[in-house]
Amino acid sequence: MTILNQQLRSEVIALYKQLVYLGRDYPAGYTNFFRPKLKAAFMKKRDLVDEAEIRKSIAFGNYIIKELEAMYYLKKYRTLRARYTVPEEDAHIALQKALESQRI
Amino acid sequence: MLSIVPNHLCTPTCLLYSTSAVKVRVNPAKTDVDRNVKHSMNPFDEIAVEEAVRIKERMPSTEIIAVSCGSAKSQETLRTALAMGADKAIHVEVADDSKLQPLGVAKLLKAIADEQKPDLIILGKQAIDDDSNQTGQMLAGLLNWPQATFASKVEITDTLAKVTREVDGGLETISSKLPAIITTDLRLNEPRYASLPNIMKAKKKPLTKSSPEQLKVDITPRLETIKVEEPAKRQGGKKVESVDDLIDKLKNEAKVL
Repeated sequence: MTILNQQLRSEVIALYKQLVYLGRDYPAGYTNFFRPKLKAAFMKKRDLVDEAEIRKSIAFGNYIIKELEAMYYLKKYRTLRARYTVPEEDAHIALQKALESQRI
Repeated sequence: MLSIVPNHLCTPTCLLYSTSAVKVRVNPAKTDVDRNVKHSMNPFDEIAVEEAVRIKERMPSTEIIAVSCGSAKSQETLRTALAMGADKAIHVEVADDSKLQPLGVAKLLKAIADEQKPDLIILGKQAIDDDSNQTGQMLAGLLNWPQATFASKVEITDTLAKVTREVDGGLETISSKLPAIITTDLRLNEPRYASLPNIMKAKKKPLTKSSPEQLKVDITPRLETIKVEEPAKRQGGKKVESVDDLIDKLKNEAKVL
């Protein structure tokens, strides 16, 4: 195996492992939903040989990682906000943030 | 903390009682929160660790010590904190989590602060299982340090902490000398996710164990929880067709007239 091949291979494996790690908390379930989908998505691309294509796919994988992290964060943030904020306070805080961002 | 002696930033991440979906349930006996659910770091403490890591990114000579008081389950939380960027971790092992109350935690943290001598202690404002919102304040009292609670923005220099607090009716910005205590509120920052390589690296970072006996702290509970109940389920709203219907419903169903 060429050096480039080995390097790409290890990048893809690291990507897969990171997605597995993030998928544990997936709301629709890890075993029955996330993992089959993840495996299928990777299997679909198993025959790629062109370096540019592989890099594009790895970049897409990293994009999915960011999306998952954002989704988890938002879910947690919204739950906590709904639980710990009174609605009038909520509107007040949203207004403050909007005004602040406009000043910048 | 940029002086000749390397100074520390101590961020206790105590109490990790929440499922990863942030759900809290009452146990069947109605005496406590259900402790058999999957635990993860308390969301406000995640924000505290994240803030500590951001301070370290701005001031690289900072050392971050993550502390957790609890049963063996706390170790996993400490590993997460180390993976997020903490340098060291201290696990104060306590036999029974449900008997550990905020005053006990505050006393344990005081003992650790006396040992480690940090310049800043950052905690989450409250734990989502008991919602006490006491540990930070009690710790400030025990250490006789200034405190800035419900922080939504933090700026640290060598000697001062400038903190914007979320209070009823708006925001308050205060400036405090260090050492000080900060408790974090929801909007302070967005905690990062530990990547797998960081989690592997975290396994090599030092995690020391301690105990209340070793720290010479008495954590006997002062309060007894008699009952814990879920809030009443929300009733659905109803639409009414006319004023007479409204009065009828207010009189007979809601029973407020």
